Amino acid sequence: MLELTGVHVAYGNIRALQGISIRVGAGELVALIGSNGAGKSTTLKAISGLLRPSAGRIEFEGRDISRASTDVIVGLGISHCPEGRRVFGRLTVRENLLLGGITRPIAEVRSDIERVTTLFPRLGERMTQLGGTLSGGEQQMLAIGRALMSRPRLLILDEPSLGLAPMMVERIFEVIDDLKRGGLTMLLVEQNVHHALDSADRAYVLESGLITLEGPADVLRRNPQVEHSYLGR
Amino acid sequence: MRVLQMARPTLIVLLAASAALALLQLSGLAFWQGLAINFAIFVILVQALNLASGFTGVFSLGHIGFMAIGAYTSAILTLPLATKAEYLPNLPVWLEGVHLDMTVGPVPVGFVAATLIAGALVMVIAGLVGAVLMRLSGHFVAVATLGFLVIVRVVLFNADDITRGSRTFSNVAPYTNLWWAWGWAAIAIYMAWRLKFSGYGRAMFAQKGDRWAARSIGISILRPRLVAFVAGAFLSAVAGSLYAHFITSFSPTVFYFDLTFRVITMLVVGGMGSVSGAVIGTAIVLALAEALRRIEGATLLYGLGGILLAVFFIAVIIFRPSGILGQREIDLEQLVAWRPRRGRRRGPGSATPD
Repeated sequence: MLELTGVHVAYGNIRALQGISIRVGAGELVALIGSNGAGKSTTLKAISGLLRPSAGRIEFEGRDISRASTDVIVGLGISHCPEGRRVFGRLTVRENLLLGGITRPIAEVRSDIERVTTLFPRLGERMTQLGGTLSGGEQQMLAIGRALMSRPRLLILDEPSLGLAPMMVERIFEVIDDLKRGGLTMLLVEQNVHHALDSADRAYVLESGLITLEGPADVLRRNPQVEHSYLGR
Repeated sequence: MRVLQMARPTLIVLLAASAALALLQLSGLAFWQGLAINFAIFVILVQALNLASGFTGVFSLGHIGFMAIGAYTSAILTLPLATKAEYLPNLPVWLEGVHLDMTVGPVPVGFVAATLIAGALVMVIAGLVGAVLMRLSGHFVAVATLGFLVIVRVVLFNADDITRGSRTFSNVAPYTNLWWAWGWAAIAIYMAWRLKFSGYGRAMFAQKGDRWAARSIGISILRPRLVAFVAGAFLSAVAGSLYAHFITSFSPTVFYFDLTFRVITMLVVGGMGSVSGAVIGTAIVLALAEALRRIEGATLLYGLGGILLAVFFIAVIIFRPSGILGQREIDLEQLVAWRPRRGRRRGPGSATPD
């Protein structure tokens, strides 16, 4: 479904990605793990068009999207739930959700709000509240809900558990598992490697802009290098 | 039925405003009539800047340039043929024969047409300028739009054949009255209101709040900004046309920093992003400026008014940086039912009518 081949991204002189190749098949949940500054978020931003690769190819359903703009990419069916939630604090929950569907006809978007509130009943109770007044966990739900409003076929999640209470982290991963059961393809970046490898089918390990390991999640979990660096055993 | 219910408070306010205007018209108090027209023109200008800057967070210092183009365009188009030949002898041929000075009964059709043509011309210019400038953000866009204002001024000064250059442009027919001014002001308020609570408005406020988040969910940054910029330019041109036919003689010096900053002050005092706030801010600053002018006259301390107005502006920035209303709106329904202080609309915020 998604295929990155030899992708390079540079911030000025700093080469953040030095030729990485990643594959995400339909219906898969693929995790991208690695330490700070390894290039995980950069990879996601390159996919959704927020950054432009300096070399390499990004294909979505057979179509080259490495030069497309973000609004086109969202329209094609990729939705990016950004790191740190980034809900619109001065807009209401409802407006945040409506904006998530900006690439689609408004009538469909309105009826889709119900789908999101079934997934996150808490959001349904807070429809007219301003986004900035929600708790961190609720904001994360809103960010995921907003990303789902464009009816993506591929959902990109950047650190969904960042800064959340352990209970909330459990809840977010339950939702991710639900979405996976529903057949949604996902690419997940996560510092919480335990959880990420529990939910994912496959994973890639990213170090200083290069893929150093890849394989099925349960194999990687037993890999001594991964255990040592990320699982702390 | 639902539409009627929602429109009722609006209708009451409209009727009350029309009654007040009719009374003012009948009273024959020329000073207050002039002030009311001035008020309307400023409401349009502030609403224009509200669209362009308050909704999008893109700080435009160039909209008075659009006003200038609107004023000159409409003034030149409405000049009667005889006056034109004598007054602007070197006009380009294609402009020589144009004279939109006809009226149908009491309606100055030519004036309406000239205003709309001025608006259309400015929209084209704003589209071209905005397509480049709306890619910038922060200080950069402020400086670039300021550059546009300077360019307009230089062109107006040097296009002698069309604008009379630095000499005063007079002989403009005094078409603008209370009804035209407030009719257009009502249209400006309606336009801003509708845009704010539309999908475009939400996109504008979203990218103002967080550009990266907006992009990540597929909002094009350029499109809503450009819509706001061009719509604001149109309203500025309308205000320019009304101003030209109200004051009847002007020169390029009018359309510069002084006016630019006065409009910004009104917008900031009312609350950037609030449609009703823009009207309130305009009223307050206009009233204050008028009062201070009288004090100046009485005390002979000329310049005092400007200083006090600036101090007031600084105080607002310090103690109420988001203005009187912020992004919220006054709920007309509450206002009409006279239950103040309960349901203020938050603006893209709660209670969106959809």
